[in-house]
Amino acid sequence: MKKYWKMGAAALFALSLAACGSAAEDTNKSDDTKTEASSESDAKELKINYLGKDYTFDAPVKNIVAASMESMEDSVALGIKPVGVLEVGGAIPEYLQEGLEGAELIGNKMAPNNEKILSLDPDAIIGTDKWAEDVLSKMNKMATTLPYSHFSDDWKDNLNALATLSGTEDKAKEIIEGYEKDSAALKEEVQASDVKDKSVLMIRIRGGIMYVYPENVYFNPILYTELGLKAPDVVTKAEAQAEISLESLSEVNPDYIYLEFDESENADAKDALADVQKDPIFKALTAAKEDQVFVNEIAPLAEGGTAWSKTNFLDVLEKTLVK
Amino acid sequence: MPKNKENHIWLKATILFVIIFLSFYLHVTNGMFDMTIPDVVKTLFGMGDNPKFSLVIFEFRLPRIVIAILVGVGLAIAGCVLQGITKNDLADPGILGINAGAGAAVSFFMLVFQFNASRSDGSEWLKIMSMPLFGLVGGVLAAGIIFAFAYKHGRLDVERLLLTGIAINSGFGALALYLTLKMSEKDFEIAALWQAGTIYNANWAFIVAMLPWLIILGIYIYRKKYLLDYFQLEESTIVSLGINLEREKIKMLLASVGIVSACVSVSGSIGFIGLMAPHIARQIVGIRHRFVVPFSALIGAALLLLSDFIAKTIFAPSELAVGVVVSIIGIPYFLYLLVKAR
Repeated sequence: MKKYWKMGAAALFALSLAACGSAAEDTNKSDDTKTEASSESDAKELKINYLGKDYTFDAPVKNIVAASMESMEDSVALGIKPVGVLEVGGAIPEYLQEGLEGAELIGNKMAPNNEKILSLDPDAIIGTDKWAEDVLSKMNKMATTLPYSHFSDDWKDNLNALATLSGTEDKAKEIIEGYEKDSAALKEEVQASDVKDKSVLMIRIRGGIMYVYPENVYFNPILYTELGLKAPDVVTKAEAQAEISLESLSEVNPDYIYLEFDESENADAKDALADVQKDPIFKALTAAKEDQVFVNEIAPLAEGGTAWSKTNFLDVLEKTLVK
Repeated sequence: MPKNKENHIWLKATILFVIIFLSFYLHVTNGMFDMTIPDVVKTLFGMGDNPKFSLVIFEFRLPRIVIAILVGVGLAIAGCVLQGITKNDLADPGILGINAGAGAAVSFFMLVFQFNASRSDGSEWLKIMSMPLFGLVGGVLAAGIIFAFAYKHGRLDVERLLLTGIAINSGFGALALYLTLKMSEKDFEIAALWQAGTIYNANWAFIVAMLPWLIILGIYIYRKKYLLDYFQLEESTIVSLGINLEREKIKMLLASVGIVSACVSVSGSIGFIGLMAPHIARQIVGIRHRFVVPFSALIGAALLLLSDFIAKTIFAPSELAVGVVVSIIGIPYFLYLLVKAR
């Protein structure tokens, strides 16, 4: 008898859990409709068309949470202050610290803290299209979330969207026009010099391993599209972040190397950079011999495909590529 | 006397329930979003009218708590069964490679099906539901391979089972790593988070996806608990009792694999719960599985709930993967068991 009673109790427990689930969903549904109704009656909306999709924000957009590195860089470029930003190793990444001072930390980029974001009372969340749908749908329940593209080619769309949200369209226009002018000028300079036939490679060390990226990822569009340099085979053949060994690096034998290394991405291999630099194979590379290896000239955590990254890397190239 | 003993069991069970309730209380009342305790209670009972409060409680905190309890229960029961079948106190779904099999399958799923879907958000429900199913396929595949190799002369050889398990574990682990390296940056980050063992992104869909497995297979195992007692006997003795030993072993194993796969696909690979919970349970209630199975389940739930509370609090607002917390607790315990076993 007791046995059945116990089993019944277990079943009841299970059922009550299931009931919890549906009840919760119901409450949320009604919440959603409520907020929609109120925003309609205020008739204060900000609609943005971003990469072919419409996003509607409650206006005025005051509290922006920058929950992606790209949006943090764009915020600094546009000179706006998000209320919440991601942390790397418990703090705002050093290269953005000045621009984002005063913003609250919302956790790391892999697992931003929902509750922290909600407590900042967000009007807009700038996330990333790297998020899985379940994360995105949770964010959308707090505020309209813009899934920022992580493709470097979309950098203007990203910047313009954030500019529209924060009312800094003029600044965005200025940045984009300035960059296009500067990069065209540098391209002319590069193409007129002997640098145009040199091979230039950007390498990022993560987890103690050297990686290269496809032509349209990371800083590569600047080098191979905007400056018209020839992409080495390792780059054209890469489909995603691709490991490159010292041996295959010596086959490529670049004339210029931009090497990026951040301790937070190499927690288990803090000496990886020094190891690479003192390796005889590396020392035998043309770039090393001609003293054209540039380490962390641009902040190693920089995303590559944002207004901030692009304008700053262009400055680096001006200093290092055409002397 | 038996009556008296029964009372002790209920007392012990009550203490465990109190521990679980306290963990629940800690978990539900603490977080980065500030809520007073009356607010939490009001919202829990549907009397609050602040939509933010309900969002925090019903979307952020409760799904996590329920998932922690369910995964804890599942892994603990599976650990119980595996330790019973293998007659090895150190058996655990993680050690046997079932976690890794399910993990590789989910990585495969991410690589193939989400590769080009970075900008679609139409069919999210379907995706959320199909990921656990893939884990299931992988878990069953891993178990199938382990079985195929562990069978010797028509019966399940325990030593071979553990050895193949270890091989399968590293094999599938390597496969998962290879798959994640092939991924786009987007999928890589999702996969890396998931592989560390996390219930950070818990939601009701996951719960709905895993609950049927846990209930049906859990009840099946509980009904067959007496077999786990018999498995402690010499094999020839079991056969002489008229039990179809091999078939029962396989059925029990498949049931536990089903539970583990459902857990892994939701939470990633969380080790050591399946190892620790049955041990602690045996220390509390002895060796009879009538008590060991339900007590393991309760202990598993309490362990994972507490670990997840630590995971979400200790470095807040940053999240620590709960799998890491469990390992930090679990490894010393594992070593303690090894030393004790000598």
